[in-house]
Amino acid sequence: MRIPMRPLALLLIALLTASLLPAGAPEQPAAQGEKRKSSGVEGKSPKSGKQRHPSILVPVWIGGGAGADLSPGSFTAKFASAPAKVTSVRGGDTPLLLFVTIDFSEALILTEAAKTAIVQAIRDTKPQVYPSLLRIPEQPMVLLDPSTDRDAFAEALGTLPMSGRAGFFEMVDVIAGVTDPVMRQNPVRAAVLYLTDSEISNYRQDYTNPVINSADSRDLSRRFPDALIREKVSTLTNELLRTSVPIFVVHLNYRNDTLNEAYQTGIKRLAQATGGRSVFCRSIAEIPVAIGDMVNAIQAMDIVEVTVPDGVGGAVSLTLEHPSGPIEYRSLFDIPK
Amino acid sequence: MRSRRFIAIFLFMLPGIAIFGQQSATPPAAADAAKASAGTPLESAIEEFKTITRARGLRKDSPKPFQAGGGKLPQYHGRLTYNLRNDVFDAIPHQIRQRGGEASILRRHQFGFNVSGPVYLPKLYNGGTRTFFTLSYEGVRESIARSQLETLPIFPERSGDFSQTVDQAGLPLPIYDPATTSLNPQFNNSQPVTEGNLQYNRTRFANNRIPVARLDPVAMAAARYFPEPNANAGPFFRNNYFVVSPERNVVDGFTGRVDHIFNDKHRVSFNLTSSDAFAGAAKWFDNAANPGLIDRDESSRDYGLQYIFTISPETINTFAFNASGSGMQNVTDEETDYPAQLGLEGRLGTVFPAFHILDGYLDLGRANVIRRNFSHTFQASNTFSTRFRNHNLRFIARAVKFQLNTYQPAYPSGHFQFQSAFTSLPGIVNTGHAFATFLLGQADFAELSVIDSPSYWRRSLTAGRIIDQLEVRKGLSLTFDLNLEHSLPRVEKYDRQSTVDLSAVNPKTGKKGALVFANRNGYGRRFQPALTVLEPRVSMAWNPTSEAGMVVRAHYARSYQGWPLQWGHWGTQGFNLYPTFLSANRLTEPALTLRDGVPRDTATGPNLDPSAADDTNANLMNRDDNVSMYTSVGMSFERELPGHLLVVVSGARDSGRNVFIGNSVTNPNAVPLDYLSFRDALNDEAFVRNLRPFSQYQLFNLGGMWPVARYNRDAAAVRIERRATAGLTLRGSYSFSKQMDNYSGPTAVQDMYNLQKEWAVTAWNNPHVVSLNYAYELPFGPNKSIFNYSDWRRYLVAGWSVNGTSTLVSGSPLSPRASFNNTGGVVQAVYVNIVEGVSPNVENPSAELWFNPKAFSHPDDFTIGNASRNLANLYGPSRQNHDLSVSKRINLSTSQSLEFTAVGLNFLNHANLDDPDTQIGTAAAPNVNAGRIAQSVGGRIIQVGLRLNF
Repeated sequence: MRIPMRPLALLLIALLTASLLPAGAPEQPAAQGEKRKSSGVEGKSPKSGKQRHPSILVPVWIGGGAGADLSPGSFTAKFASAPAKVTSVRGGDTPLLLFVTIDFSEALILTEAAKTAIVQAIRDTKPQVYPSLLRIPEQPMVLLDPSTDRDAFAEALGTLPMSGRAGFFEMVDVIAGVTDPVMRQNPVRAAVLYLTDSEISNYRQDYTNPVINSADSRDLSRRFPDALIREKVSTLTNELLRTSVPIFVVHLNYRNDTLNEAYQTGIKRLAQATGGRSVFCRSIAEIPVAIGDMVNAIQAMDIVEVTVPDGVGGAVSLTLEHPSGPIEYRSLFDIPK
Repeated sequence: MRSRRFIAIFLFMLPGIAIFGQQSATPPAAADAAKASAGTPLESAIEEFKTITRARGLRKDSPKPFQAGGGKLPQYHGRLTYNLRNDVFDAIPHQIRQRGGEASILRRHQFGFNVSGPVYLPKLYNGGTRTFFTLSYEGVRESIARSQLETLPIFPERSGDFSQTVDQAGLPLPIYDPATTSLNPQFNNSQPVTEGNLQYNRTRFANNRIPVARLDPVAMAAARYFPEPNANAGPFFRNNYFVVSPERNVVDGFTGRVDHIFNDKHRVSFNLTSSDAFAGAAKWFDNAANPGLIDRDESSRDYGLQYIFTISPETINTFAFNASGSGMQNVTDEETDYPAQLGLEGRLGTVFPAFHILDGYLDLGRANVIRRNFSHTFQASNTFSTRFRNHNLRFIARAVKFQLNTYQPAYPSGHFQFQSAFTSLPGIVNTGHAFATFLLGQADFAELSVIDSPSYWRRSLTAGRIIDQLEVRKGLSLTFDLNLEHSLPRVEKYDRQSTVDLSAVNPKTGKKGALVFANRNGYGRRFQPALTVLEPRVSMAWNPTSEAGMVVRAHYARSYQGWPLQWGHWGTQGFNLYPTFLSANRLTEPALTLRDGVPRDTATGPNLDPSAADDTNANLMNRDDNVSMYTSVGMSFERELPGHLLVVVSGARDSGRNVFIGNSVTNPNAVPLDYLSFRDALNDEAFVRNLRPFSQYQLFNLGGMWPVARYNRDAAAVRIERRATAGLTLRGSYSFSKQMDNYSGPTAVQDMYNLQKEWAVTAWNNPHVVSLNYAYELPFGPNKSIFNYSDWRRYLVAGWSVNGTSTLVSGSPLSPRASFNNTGGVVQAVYVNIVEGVSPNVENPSAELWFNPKAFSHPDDFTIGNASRNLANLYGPSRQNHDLSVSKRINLSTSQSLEFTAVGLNFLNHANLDDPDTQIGTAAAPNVNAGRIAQSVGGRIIQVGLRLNF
């Protein structure tokens, strides 16, 4: 069978033309919470609604134990050389909305271990933690709204189907988009915790650029086969720099082939960009430890609100200091000018 | 018309592309209302979450299901790509520069697209969240030069003048007239044949020239197909033909997949891949006698269906069916009758005959000029996965059917072999010349392939497999994997299959060893037994401490290889005929003379007589149940270290037993080496025939499936990875390996009856391998430490990244061989002798002298060498390669970007040395090139590419 070259060529031209067309008008006006408009920046006070300088929400981990001074005045913040003011701190007593997002598609043994571990970790959390459950594969869905009912969480997780196409890349910006306004508009802490066993070749979209013509032995375009993954990670990083909710990822199944190495590196970069963390389990025994540690890290997170000075915008780097010593915080943001 | 409709459908879909990223589905009024109805800030936050997710389609009570992008129309992603290679970007390859060349043509255009998203047919079907597709196309148009350095007869030789012909030491090479051969009455047969004790007398051609009248007209006609020598790489007249020939390739292929979700429990996936190629070979001769590759058409198809049924959260069933096929056929001129044009008579085909001229000259013609091969594989499998207590179980059932339809007569117009013996002083090495023998038309061996019809090979297997992943206790998991496979050996669709039965009596000779036929005389359709094998695999993962980041792994596995199918007509003797013509005496009597043609009284149709394979290299199948067995055992230790570092230390032993191998390693009809003591008598076919275990046959053709090879490979490796920090990812590894076997090497083994003695380091074992991979996103642009511009300059400085890989591989063992093989054909390849006390290694190895040839000596006539098959203390040059990719990404919008990439293969333009010449001559005729390296190869190749992501 010969390839119908003419229709393919025409299709190529059509797609090229379409991709270069200016974006069309939106069907509906965007909500305040929509991801495309979200920026991780507050424009008005959650309580008063009064317009003021925009601010950003920064996830922070402060050493020094429970007795550390968490008053806004104890922080020093600046964007490059421009000093900024810390206006509020949402500490350990502030409600924490934990959006547990499940992206299971592969090995049952790992997913079962993860389910057991996350149920236990959630049971062990402080009362201020309000876990929610979302799933990604096939049809993304909220399975449980934030609540203190740990049994409901366990029950919802127990009925979750455990197979499907991987979805982390395709949903990470969507989940960031829907959770971002929740934290921006309300004085709560929020975090997204992904549990995933995803593998790069299990996506609906093609990130692996598989060989099509096996007879073409001199193909150099796949010499560095991770280009598509890096491209996707760059796009997502730019998106996530505009959101405020930190993303944490526990990947259940570390793989060491070239493409999955690039994929896992990408996951790590995306988590880092939001101020979150990632861990990759190399054996089933690591899963409970990794999930427990990650949930503990999320609970220990404070959210610091920093006012953005006039003239600061675009891609900026934040420096945050605290008298307790070196602190861990998110430093990169993309602030609309 | 169809094209217009096609475009119309896609243009309908385009708004979905254009509006990506701009749509919203959350009415602001709804969000405000939600907030107004909420009480505490926490309740407000939860209510807001509900409102947004409901509007986004992420809840069961959402008015419409989730759709990426949030709009009414579907959203498509993908890419358009174009890659270009042109020799103006490249360095001139070293091997071409060394021959004085100035360019190596290279034009390559590679283009394609990928698009994926929901299936949406306006007014017909909206796949929405249920049906998705991905489609990719890729095409290649390429013209690339291939170079080759070979040896052709010089002009005087082509007219019979060997006065300028020299041996490998540069000394005149005498050519003798076979017509003057006579028995030497003074021959003392208790002494070796020497120039002073000749068995046969033979007169040298006057002035070392063959008279014109003696030249064979068929050979002379064939010799005109040789192109002119055009190089003088040497030594002497050797390496005098440097061909740079274009190879033109056209490839088109596409791959697609459709996923459909019925509901939470049922989903199905269908994929297909199709590829067609015309591979225009780089020809060594631009005529029908080309001994190199032939133009060919290739195609491949693959169709797959997968149905996944999620029975419960802990139980999944997956059914898969796959059908794949591939085809390849040579593009051959079968109209012109080349044997007739040459004057070669006989019942021959039309393609150019194959003239195999020993002594290092290029052949005229080649095997398998006609080739039409097609294969199909059908596979159905079902996997049931479930969890029971702390066991995670998978049950896999699989059935596979293989089909191979093949038509490739190796030599329809004949294969004629010429060696120096007929123009030598009989029994004296370094006299005579194979090309001179060719000019006299005196072949020492000839054969024909009379293939009446294609062969239709079939084979099948069924397998059941259980995998149990068991959590033994916290920190320790075990995996037990047991595969039970039942495979049936091959069958020919029309039972046109045969083999030699070594226990059957040959009615013609009364000896054991007769040809038997499938489904006849009590033999079944299959000659080999059905195989039932149990393949276990056990693996362990253990975290010795409670902390994460430290894992010890171990595994043991054993597997078997079933009977493979292979292209061609091996095992069809009788149905297909291979008339073979043998020399009665390797020194004095040719098998046939070209001017006399190929005898016409050979059988042309099926001959189902038990003696039909007599006097041939008879096809012999292994009929017991010994099949290749592979064992692997290994252990690794992984440790995460501070600084995003990961260290993996591993060790493994892999071994193979009863590995299938062919005629170059073993042959049940080989003459035992003890009989070398018969010396010159071994040149007599009638005499040597009686030394073979089955005297009615020449050697056996084992089809590459005789289970006697074995190997052991011990390897240790260290890998260090540094995960992305500050944009830099590094991965370095070092591995050391030692592999031993009883079969590998550039030639056949020396002693087929003593493979234990052939145990030596593997020919392709590179003990040390170091590799480094890196990816670095340059810290330029917004948010980065350098050039932190936020104005227009950010478009120039941002988005640069570098990827690279470097590999250093130590050399492989060298395999010196004797220049002359005067063993009466008993030994296929003669190793060298070790000279005691002389090291083969030199102080500063270089292309001029890589090793010391004086460390080896040429064995005497009718003896074998005592050196190892491949030397563990002498290695060839190491190789290194450095590839680099630089890319620049420009964001066009939130969803569109353009990426420019330049890939440099061997970007340092490093030249890797070839292996040295390992032919060791006699003391009287040493190979002056021994230990030297003729050339280095390699050159920088650049490819530039553009990719639009949307």
